Amino acid sequence: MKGLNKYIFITCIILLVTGCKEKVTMLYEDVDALYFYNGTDRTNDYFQKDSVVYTFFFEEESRTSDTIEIIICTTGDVYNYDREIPLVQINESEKFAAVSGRDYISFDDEEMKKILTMPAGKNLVKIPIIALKSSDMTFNEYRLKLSFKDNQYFSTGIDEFSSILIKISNMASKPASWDGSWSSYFGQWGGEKMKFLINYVGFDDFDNPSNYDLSIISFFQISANNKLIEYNKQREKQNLPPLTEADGTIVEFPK
Amino acid sequence: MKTNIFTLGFILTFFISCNYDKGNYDYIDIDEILPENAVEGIEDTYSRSSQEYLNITPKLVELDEDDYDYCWYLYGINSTVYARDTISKTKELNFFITLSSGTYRLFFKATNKKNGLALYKTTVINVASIYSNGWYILKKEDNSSDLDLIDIEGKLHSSIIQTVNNKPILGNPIKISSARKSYNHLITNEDGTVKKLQNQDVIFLVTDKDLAVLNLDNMNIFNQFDNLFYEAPDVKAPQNVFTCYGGPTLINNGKAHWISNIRANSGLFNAPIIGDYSFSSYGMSYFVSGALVHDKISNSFKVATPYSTTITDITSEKLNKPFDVLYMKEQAINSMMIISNGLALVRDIETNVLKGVRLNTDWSYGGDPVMDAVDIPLDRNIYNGKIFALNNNNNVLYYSEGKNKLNMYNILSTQENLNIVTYPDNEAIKSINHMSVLYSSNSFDQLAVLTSTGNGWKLYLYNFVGTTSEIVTPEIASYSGTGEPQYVTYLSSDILYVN
Repeated sequence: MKGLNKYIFITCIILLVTGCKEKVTMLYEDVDALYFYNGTDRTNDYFQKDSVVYTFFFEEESRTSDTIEIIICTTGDVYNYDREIPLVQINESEKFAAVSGRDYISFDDEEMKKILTMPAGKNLVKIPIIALKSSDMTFNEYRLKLSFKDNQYFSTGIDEFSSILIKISNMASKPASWDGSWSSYFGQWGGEKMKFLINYVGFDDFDNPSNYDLSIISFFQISANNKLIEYNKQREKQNLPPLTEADGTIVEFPK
Repeated sequence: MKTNIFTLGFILTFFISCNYDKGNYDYIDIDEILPENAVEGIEDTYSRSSQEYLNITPKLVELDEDDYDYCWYLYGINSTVYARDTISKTKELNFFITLSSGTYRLFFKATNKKNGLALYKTTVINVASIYSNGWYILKKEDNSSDLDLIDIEGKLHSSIIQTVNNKPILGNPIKISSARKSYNHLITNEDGTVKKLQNQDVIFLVTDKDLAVLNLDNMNIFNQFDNLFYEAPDVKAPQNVFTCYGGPTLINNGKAHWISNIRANSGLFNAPIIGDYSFSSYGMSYFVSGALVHDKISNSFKVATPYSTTITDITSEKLNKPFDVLYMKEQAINSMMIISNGLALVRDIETNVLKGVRLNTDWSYGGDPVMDAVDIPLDRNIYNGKIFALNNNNNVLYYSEGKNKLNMYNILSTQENLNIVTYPDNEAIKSINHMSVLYSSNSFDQLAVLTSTGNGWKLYLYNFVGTTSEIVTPEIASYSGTGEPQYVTYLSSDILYVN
């Protein structure tokens, strides 16, 4: 019996020892810090990678500014008061760096200061960056690299997501899904063609070809053809040539 | 010593738990409780139409029926849309059928109140919609359009769209066509989720102000013009719908829009087919692949097909001068399975001479669809014709001057047969249609003549003399109803596409 007690005692000790595991410190769990959202959350319509491309090309000519939303998150607790977000540009010295006040509304602007806030009770906010169209953007793409500095609310956060690059231009860019997907229905890519699809056909969801069944894709294809015919008729009345790309290629859609 | 006692007890526990339980039960043979053929009075199958009663009086043989609780339930055999449903908790079934057409398995269950054991008997119900088969009269009533139906029992169902949907379809009636097992319809549930009803039987009802897609199972309106397009046309002027295997083609304001059944679709019409054309209302279905339609710009035929985003031009050697069309239709026997011809009555725009045209309806034939284009002598009465119809088996047109006389014209021999039937003076012929259902248990081959009586309509049905175009008079049946008649046709579950 004495031996039995000994085994019970040892077993209890082992259980006690294994029941106590060393606490692993969760990185940033207790640190109030900022980082740029990086991922896809379809439920909440969050999508952001480490860079954002924006062009004025597909907008109306008269548009001189537009909003680019970026998603900023916090680590640490949420608080019952607003916290200022110390957003800064970190690439001023680079070639083709965006210029505050020329290519985007300065973060020192009084209105922007009000916007640059993590609201009370929140750990995620969409911040509008106001891009400004300049004449140089027709030929150059300007780069705005953003990060955070420390302030009374936030200190250095996750290194991997501590910066984001925004590319601003007035030039057309070809969607990655064009070749092998949209090219079957809309033909060879062109900036004016894409602009026409967006502004006259009403189609701009080039990133998600799998969202559309063949019937609605054929609708966009037929609609693009019909509307281009009408559009060129109007141009003809104004003694203008058919819609062309910058290199002179006439815009056409497969039939 | 204590340890040994514990060990012995532990082992004994295992042995005791394994002891065979001989029990002390009195088993009764299963046939004494649930005897075979214990239920009588239920047939193996029943065939009923929706809106009819199914009455069944079962009997429990040599059992006290008061000792049982009863339950009838059913589920769809060919369908996943109809889950098991209890329809009665009495022994006698008195079931008013509101099911969609299809085949259902019906269960009768009698549960013994004392021991809970149950007797089952199953049967099959074949449900046909009353709307599935019968003569349809498209009519105008109170400046709207509605349908009257004479079902296969000869019973008249008046103004069924108004009755079922509490509203008629706006506009003056033009035509109906139908398509079986080929229309997809989206339903948005209360929670916002979307359900697709696939391969539905539908009627396309065309008026000059609207287009309605009606569910042939229950006559509910699936959709109307404003919600039937990916992008609704600026001008709402429906003219005709041609149905075929490839999908329906709508002519609206001169432009052709299709729903392609060869692509995944949601029952919405596409943007107008690309091309420089303006279609008239006249055309005929190519059973497989679209429609041959008259174009008012080129004054020729063109093809609109769901297989192409563009209009296909037709060049004809035998019909090579500009023409317009007074009548045109395919010779439809059953469904697309039978390749036949089409007939047209066209007018040479330069000479005003009418031509009787025989058309090939097999698109795979390709090329020139015009087989014959025979001038109609100027002394023929058909020049005064206003209402036309073809014979499905012969090269014959029936026509009326819009008055009370029915005439015939053979487009190849150019022979006429006038006044084959003369109706009362107060009646005017509004629509004629030859409908054939062959090679089916519901076979028939009849000519329908729809007249306006001034305060209603009258429908006359005739048999033919063999397979000739000659009709047997007097009529085999006649029916009457209210409203201003426009068009008559027969819809049958044996005919996939009616135009």
